[in-house]
Amino acid sequence: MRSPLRSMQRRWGALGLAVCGALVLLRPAPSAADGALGSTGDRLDWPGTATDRYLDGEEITAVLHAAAEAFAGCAAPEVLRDEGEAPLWLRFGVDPQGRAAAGQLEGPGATSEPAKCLLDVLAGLKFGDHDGLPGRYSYPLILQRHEDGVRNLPYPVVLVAQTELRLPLLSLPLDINPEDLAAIEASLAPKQP
Amino acid sequence: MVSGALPALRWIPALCSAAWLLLLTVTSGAAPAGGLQYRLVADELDAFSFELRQVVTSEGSSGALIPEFTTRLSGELQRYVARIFRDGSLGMVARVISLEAASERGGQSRSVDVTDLDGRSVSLRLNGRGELLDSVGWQQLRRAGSQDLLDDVFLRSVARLPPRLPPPARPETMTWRFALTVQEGLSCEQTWILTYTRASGPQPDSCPRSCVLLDYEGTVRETCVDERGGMRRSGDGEVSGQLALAGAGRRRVLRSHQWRSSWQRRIEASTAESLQQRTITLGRLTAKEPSR
Repeated sequence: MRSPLRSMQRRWGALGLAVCGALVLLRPAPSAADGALGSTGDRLDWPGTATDRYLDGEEITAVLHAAAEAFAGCAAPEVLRDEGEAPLWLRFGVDPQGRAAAGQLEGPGATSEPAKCLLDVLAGLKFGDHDGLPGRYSYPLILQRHEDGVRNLPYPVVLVAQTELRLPLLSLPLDINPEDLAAIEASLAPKQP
Repeated sequence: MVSGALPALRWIPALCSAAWLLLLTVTSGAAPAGGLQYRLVADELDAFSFELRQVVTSEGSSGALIPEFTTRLSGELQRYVARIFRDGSLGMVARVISLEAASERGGQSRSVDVTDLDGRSVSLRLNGRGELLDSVGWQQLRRAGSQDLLDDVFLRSVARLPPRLPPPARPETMTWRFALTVQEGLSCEQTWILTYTRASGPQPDSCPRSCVLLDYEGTVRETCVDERGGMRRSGDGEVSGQLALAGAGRRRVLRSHQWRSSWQRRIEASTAESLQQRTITLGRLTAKEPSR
């Protein structure tokens, strides 16, 4: 004669096995199946990624904005512009150590002696270290008379001139000279008369 | 005896739940679950020497401006897993150092300065099978003057693996699509169809102990677009190669990879001008350190 207790244990055991089997079958698919979706925070070029570091325009702009007062301190009649007049342009590169390189001023008053102060301020700035190719940056200095003296209106962006990729879909000799490259470009995209 | 075992049945649900939780934890941390995978260890540097030889011939009205030339490139590829994403995929940084290059034209060979390329890296996000999920850094590599020569070196270091090691004499065929974005408006899409076969033959020098040799061959079709330059490229390629994988079980270490690819490409400009290029590439990657 079976005891009711043993019968119940058997039933619980069978039920347990069924639940266990269902759990294994209903196990969620591995999240790798999401493939490239992953998490929205998972970006390869997220800050802190241990790869080459390239400067972007926003980093440069932030440093120039922080130096706005120092630029304004260079104010002299030659470099002060009234509203609507063409601004002075700072043009410079940034070396791998983050120092401004080959700084130039262009525009009205650029060759005046006081304007050199602006280049000194630029030379004293520290941008981020990087290991990209030397880019060329252009930034308008808008120095205006103000009731408290002179102010430098921060321009929202710095213009970045980068090396254009030329004929990137062609296989070309690594040491192709610029004339040959220009000739191939011209033959593929002849100028319209 | 039977009656003594019956009370133990009470523990089955609890044990099963624990096993289920364990299974869940393990599989969510490793991507992808099951199948043949690379054994890649976080923060551990792998180094490979590489050699590449590419012969290019051009035809068409513009093709005459590009006489046949050969490019040789060699150096070292270093790579390591820099991060593990939350979905279990790997963020790998790969860089090239100690580069030497030479260009041959008209029977004359001369070395090419590739200093700007030295130390350049790309970041690859991939899963253990070598499926590329994302990548960055190609634009900088090209700006430094690499063209697309180094793409093969980086990508073949994590060549796509078949789902399982095919048994001898039972080839395994698989197909996949692959996209590479260099920069906005400049990208390529490729469709690969490869057949993998377990090979026998002499063990490469980079295999101190026995390696599994995996031959593959197949075809690739691609379309590329350069929106800024107003050009498109379409091409058909034939590829073959051999992977030497060390280790046991489903996680293997790449010890060497040699490959050959032959491309027939047609480049069309928006002006309806076009040229054809035939490219034959031979490459080899060889692990520098002894197998772990």
